Amino acid sequence: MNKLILIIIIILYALTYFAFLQNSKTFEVTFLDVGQGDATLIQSSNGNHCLIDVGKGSVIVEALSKTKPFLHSLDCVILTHADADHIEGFLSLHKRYEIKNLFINYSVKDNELVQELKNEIVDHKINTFSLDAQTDFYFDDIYFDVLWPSSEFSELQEDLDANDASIVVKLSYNNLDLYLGGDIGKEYEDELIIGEIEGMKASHHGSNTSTSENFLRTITPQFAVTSSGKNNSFGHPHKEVLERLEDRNIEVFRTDLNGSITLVADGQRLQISCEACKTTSFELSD
Amino acid sequence: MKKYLLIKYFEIVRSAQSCSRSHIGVIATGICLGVLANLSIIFGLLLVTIISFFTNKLWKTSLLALLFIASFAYTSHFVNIRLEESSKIYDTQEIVLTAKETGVTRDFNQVVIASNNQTKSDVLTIVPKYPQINQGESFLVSTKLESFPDYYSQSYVSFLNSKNVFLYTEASSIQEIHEAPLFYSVLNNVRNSLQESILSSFNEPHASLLNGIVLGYDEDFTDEYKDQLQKTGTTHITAVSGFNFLILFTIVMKLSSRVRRPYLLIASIFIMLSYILIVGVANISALRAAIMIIAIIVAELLGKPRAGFETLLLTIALMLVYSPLLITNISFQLSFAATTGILIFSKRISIALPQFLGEFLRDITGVTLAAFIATSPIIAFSFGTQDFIAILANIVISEAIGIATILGITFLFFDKTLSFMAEFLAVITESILWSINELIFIMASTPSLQIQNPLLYLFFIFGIFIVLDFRYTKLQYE
Repeated sequence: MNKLILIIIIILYALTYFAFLQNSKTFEVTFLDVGQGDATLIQSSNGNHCLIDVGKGSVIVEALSKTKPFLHSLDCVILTHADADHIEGFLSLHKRYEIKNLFINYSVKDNELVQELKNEIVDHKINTFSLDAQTDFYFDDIYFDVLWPSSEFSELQEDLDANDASIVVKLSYNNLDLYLGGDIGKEYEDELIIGEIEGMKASHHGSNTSTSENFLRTITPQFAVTSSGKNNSFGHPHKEVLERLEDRNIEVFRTDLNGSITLVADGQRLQISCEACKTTSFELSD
Repeated sequence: MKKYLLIKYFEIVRSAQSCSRSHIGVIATGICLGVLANLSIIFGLLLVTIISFFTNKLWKTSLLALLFIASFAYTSHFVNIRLEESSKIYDTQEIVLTAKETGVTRDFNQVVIASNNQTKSDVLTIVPKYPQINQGESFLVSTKLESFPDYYSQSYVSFLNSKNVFLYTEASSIQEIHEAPLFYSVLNNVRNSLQESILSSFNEPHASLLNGIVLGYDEDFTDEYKDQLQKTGTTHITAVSGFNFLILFTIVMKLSSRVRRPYLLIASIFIMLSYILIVGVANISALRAAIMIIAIIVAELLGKPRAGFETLLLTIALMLVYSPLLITNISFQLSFAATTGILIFSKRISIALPQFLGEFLRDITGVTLAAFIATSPIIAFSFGTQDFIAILANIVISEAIGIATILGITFLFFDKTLSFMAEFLAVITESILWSINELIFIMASTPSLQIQNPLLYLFFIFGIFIVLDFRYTKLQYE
């Protein structure tokens, strides 16, 4: 009898735990704290998930587990370029999550990590597609406007830096436009035609090689997110970039100080919250 | 008090008599002392003298002395060859190494313990992180074998020596990798498949914890998590132990009531062997547990059941004959100390504890305290003193770990067969793992209850033991 009661208690406890941690279904963008790297999780209002970049090592797995427990599949993963701090996490990620579609950039760099990645993709038969500026797509009700690399740029890949070949995307959901620039440098970033947006992730972890004054003048975001590791050796985000953002009254959120940063939007309002900051709200104009 | 001391004296003499009749104990002792050869043969002669005190049969004394001297000589020879190899000068050359164990360094390179056909000792090899090398695979590098870098601490070098690693090399690239032989290939695939089942069904950090509890794999733990485990004295929960083997044994024996017991026992031996091969024979505590349980099963099959302590001695001897330097390995020492403590002391400690705790709590506390007391000297002098919160943490968590282990192993059985059952079990198991992690986190956050001075710490620990043992003796003889 005692054993039966114990079993029933354990089952009830487990079901309570399970119910408590069920994921919500609203449009959300979470800039995950993966240390010195990038990982951005987008959740559509249907509850489907797309991940842009996966950070270094296997930190992405714990970061995802904390943010979205009981998530077991990703409808899409986009790897913007072949630097370890953007793609290495994929080697751990695909063992834990079903990856339905993988979008990559057939970039210039072909090193041991990229080879390992390619071997895993082939071994596990993951659907893989190339992305460039010709391949915009809808992810449920979110429009992914792929701004870079252009097809002309792709042809010149042998001569170019991996960062400058980053996949650059503008997300549009209702009245919200978000710019996600990978590690693209200002030489190419300044040439992008984007229009005004509500928010951005500063390219290259807030490095001074991107996010120029010119660029900010054309896109006029209300807020910016920098994704970098605490006390990282590169000094990201750079002081010059932070000053530029501050001068333009752009509110800055930093994963190195604030942890993972989550945006929730319903078309009229945008709410930004994080592990170590006050919740901030913005009105979204038509 | 006088009566207590007299009783203790006769108990120790009787224990020594039973030990000295064990030839296996003599072999093990010879090997241990052979490793410490600088203590010289005088220690050996002293031991032979003590042995002869307990037996007056010349042939027994002679046999025991010969066994001891042979073991001593074998071990000294074993160690000398490897020390010679480590002091030789080697040229840069292309060398094929075969991976025995793999891991990741702090700066994200691969570290591989590999054998080769040129030296008897194994090589600690540092190579780039990719391509990844699996156990059993051979790889070609152009490099030079040398002794360990100067910045390696003596304790780390001793640890490596205990794994038969006396040489070091660092290669900037891997030229070729050859597929592992079929046996290792199958093992790697099975291991990876089981790990992926856990990884894909559980969230972090619960998946990593379950991987550690069930498969002995702890590479994915963050430094922060390892610190929490260390503070709460619960690092051992991620070590595959006798409990895992006991669960497997119970499952096999309950599989069919129609099959005769001897056949089930033989089947269970194969299951135990498969499990230890999947976990890895480099996992000391798992290997110890596997040998012990297989020895007990074989003894039953031969119609000669053996007591726990004799089996433990046999296990010590077998492992030391395979690799004598294991005696210096901290995991080896802790595993055997804990098992010895539990075998000898846990029952008497639980009897000595206050009645109001109830039988269940007294049993858990008895086991926890016995292991804690037995391992304290090793931990105090190797790592520093432990926080006393570790006692409470182990008492609180031990049952939950047991349940998680049972559920985890059962989950793996069902994962490839009845997936809906596996999903159901995954939900329950995850909630238990979450509780364990939360308890560890809470206890790791408590203020420290630690005596920094090792001697004072040990004095306090043994004081607790003496008090409990005194109470036990009083209860027995009242």
